[in-house]
This record gives sequence, structure tokens and C-alpha cells, in this order.
Amino acid sequence: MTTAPQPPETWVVEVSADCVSSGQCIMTAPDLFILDEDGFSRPVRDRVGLDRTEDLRQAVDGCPVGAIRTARG
Amino acid sequence: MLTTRPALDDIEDALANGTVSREPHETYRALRERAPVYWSQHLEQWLVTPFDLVEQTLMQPVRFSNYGYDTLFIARLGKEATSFPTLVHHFQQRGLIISDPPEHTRLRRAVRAPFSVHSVNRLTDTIQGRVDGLLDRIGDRFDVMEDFARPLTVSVISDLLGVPEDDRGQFPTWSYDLIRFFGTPRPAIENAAVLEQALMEWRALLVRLFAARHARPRDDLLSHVAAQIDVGEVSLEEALFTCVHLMIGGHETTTSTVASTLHCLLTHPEQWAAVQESPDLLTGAIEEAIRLETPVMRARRSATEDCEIDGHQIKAGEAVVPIFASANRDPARFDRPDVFDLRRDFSARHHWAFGRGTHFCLGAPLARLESQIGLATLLRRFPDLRLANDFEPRWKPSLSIRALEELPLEVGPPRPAA
Repeated sequence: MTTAPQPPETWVVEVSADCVSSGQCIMTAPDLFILDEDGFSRPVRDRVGLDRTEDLRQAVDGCPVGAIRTARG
Repeated sequence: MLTTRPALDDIEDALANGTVSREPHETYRALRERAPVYWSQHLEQWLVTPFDLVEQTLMQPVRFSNYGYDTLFIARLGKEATSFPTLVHHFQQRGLIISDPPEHTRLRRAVRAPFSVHSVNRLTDTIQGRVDGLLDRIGDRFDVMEDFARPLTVSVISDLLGVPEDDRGQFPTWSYDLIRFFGTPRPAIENAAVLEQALMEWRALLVRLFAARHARPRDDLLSHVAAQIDVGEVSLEEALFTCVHLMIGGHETTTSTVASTLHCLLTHPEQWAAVQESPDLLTGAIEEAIRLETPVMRARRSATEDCEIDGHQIKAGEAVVPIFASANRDPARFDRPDVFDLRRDFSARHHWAFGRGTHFCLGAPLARLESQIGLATLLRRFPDLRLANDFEPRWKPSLSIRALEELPLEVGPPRPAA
């Protein structure tokens, strides 16, 4: 008998339309955020491991418009 | 590529005779239509006016550097610049405002914590207390700029930094001296002399406060910065420059925002009635007012390499000025751009009143919160607020700052006509 694989514990990350391209998140965590072709930030991956909680917290706090949303998921 | 730089006589006249400094919008409209990337002989600067080109310039922080513009401007004083050693020295340093990544990243990280949305929201009660205290003292007639908005914003930024009450008296004057020097089309020797003195006193104050906080740290930003000087994360020069600019940015622009929002609302009675009915509409009113009367009208950049903007050849070392105040009224971006409409939808279309990109205003959340609390309280306590009968809008003469000279208001029963 096998157990079903547990879903990974992650953060779901979103950048809202409030982004003003300050680039603070990218300087804080360059592997987690990237600028799209219009120069606005988006997450590199929608889900980020809990081991990156501190980096995410800094990115959330460092955003001058509060555009980064995180939720456990 | 366009290598010629044809002069537009009417534009040069408007720049030289001060028209642009008081009433900029007509000239910027003319530039958007006739010369969207324009070399002004009078200013010795490239003026960039359309929304998309302003954006494009701001999004290239390496090619269009924040460092060098001020030095170019001061250099126009010629040999006389050597009479102002503090001024020259100060603007040759790389502080928060005149640095590029990676220095800018390091400096911004050093001071940003108390300006985050999260930190600022915790100041709500303190700001409300300051607002109530000021409004308790106003009479039947008062000037929003000097009797309400400026004392409010000076006290909030001073509290945040930890500048003691007794040391707050002079820095609004020093800020004005600095803004006036850089806000004229050409540097004026008499303004340089006044600014030299102001910078000496300002720096002396900050050096004294850093020493005091080093000896006895408190829970304020000056203590935090003093600690970072100690560990070598920032230099004393970087700290001085950065705090000067936080002190200016912390009050001059928000003072203008509060007054401009009220001015827009009181000159549009239907929208004034709407915010009285639904104070939630104030948020949109503030955004719309700073789009229409953008407090910081222009950015200051210098080209680090030969390049082009929209086909115009820019040479390395030249001053390039993207104009927020023009971008925010560009009809290619905003419908009916000269109309005040507090219901304008900004959700998909930002304005650039706080800039865009690397140097996006650090204090935007604080500016928005202070304006919101200040205006909501004013509205609630004085529903019969109105413009003084004798009021005629006059704007401060500056190429960089858009602010009313005064905004006299009356409350209470209408006065008989004089």
C-alpha cells in the first residue's frame, strides 16, 4: 500500500497591477522575481518553498507600493 | 538619426521669461505636439515630454544615470562655483537620490524599513493626533499650505527620523533654498550663496544628531542610520545626503499634494459634494490631483553614453530631463487629460507622479496616508470649508516643484463682502 504524495508546503506569490517597476523585489530576490517585457515585476514561479520565507518577507516589505501578495498554499 | 537641434523660439522665450516656471502645462503640451524630444539651448538640457518616452527613459537607469545632473547644473556657475565648496562637495557625493544601482540599492535598503506600507500604516494614530492638534488651532480663515499641510508633514517626517522638536524650525527653509536653486532655468549666484549657508547648517545639525544617536540610540531612523555608519554599511557623506533628501521629500511634496487636492475639489463643486457624501472617494481624488498637478514635475538624469531617444542623438554627459508633469497629461495615455475627474480609473494605467522604476518615491505610502488622513479630517470637521473670496491661484515659480503659493480657506458663517 502506498500513501498519496503530500502536497508541498509553499507560498503562492502574486504581483498586483500596482507594480511601478522599482525593482526592489528583484534586487532582494533575483531568482524569485523578474521584469516582464513591459518592465513590471512578476514572480519567476507562482509557488515558492517555505525555505525562502525570509527573502519573500523582505521583498514584500521592500515594495514601495505593497504590490506583492503571498499566501500559504 | 536626427543630429540637428532646431530651436523653437517661443519655447525658449517661455523658459527664459519664467512662463514655464509658473504655468508649465501649455508649454509641455506644445513640446509633446511639436518636439517630443527637445534640446533647450536656454536650459542646456534635453526635455522629454510624451508618456511613453518618459517611461522609456526612466526604465534605463544605467544609460540615463541619476548621478551627474546636479554637478552639470552647478558647473554652469563657471569659475564662481569654487566660492561654494559645500554645495559642490555635497552634490559630488553619491546619496540615495543621486546614485545608481548597486550603490542606490544599498542606500535604499539602509533607510527603507520605516517607509514600507506595513510600517507606515502603524503611524495612523500618530498622524491623526497631529492632524487633530493642528485643526484645533485654526481660525475662521487659514492658509492650508502654511497653517496645516506644512506643519503636519514637517512633524511627521521629523518624528520618523527622530529630529527633535527644537531642531525642526529651520529645515523647511533650507529645503526651500535647495529647491529654489535647482528650480531656476540657470543657476543664480545669489541662490547658490544662500544654499551654501543652508547646507552648512543642515549638515552640522545632522552630524550632531548622528553623534547623539550613536551615543544613545533611540527607536528612530537617525539611530538606525548612525548604527549603519558605525558598521561601515553607509559612509557619513552618504548618510548626510540621504537624510537631507528624506527631509525634503518628506514634507515639500506632500504639502503640495494636500493643497492641490483641496484646490481641485473646491473648484469642482460637484466632486466636492461627492467626497463629502462618500469620503472613500478621497483616495481617487488625491491620485487624480497629483496626476494633474504633479508635485515633482521632472526627473534629473545624465546620459552615460552616446545614445538616442526616439531618433534624436544624445551625447554622453548631457542632461536629460523626463517630465512627469507632461507624461501625466499626455492625451495618448489619458482621456481628457486636462480634466480633474476623481473617478478616473488608474487600475490599469498608472500615473508617474511618484516616478517609475528604480527611483520610485520611497515615501509614496507615507504621502498617501498623510494626505488621506489630513483631508478626510478636514472634510469631516469643516463641511462648510470654502475658498477665500479673494483667492487667485498663484503657483510657486519653479521648473521642478508644482505648489501653490498659498491656499486661503474660510470656515464658519460666510463673511460679508468687503
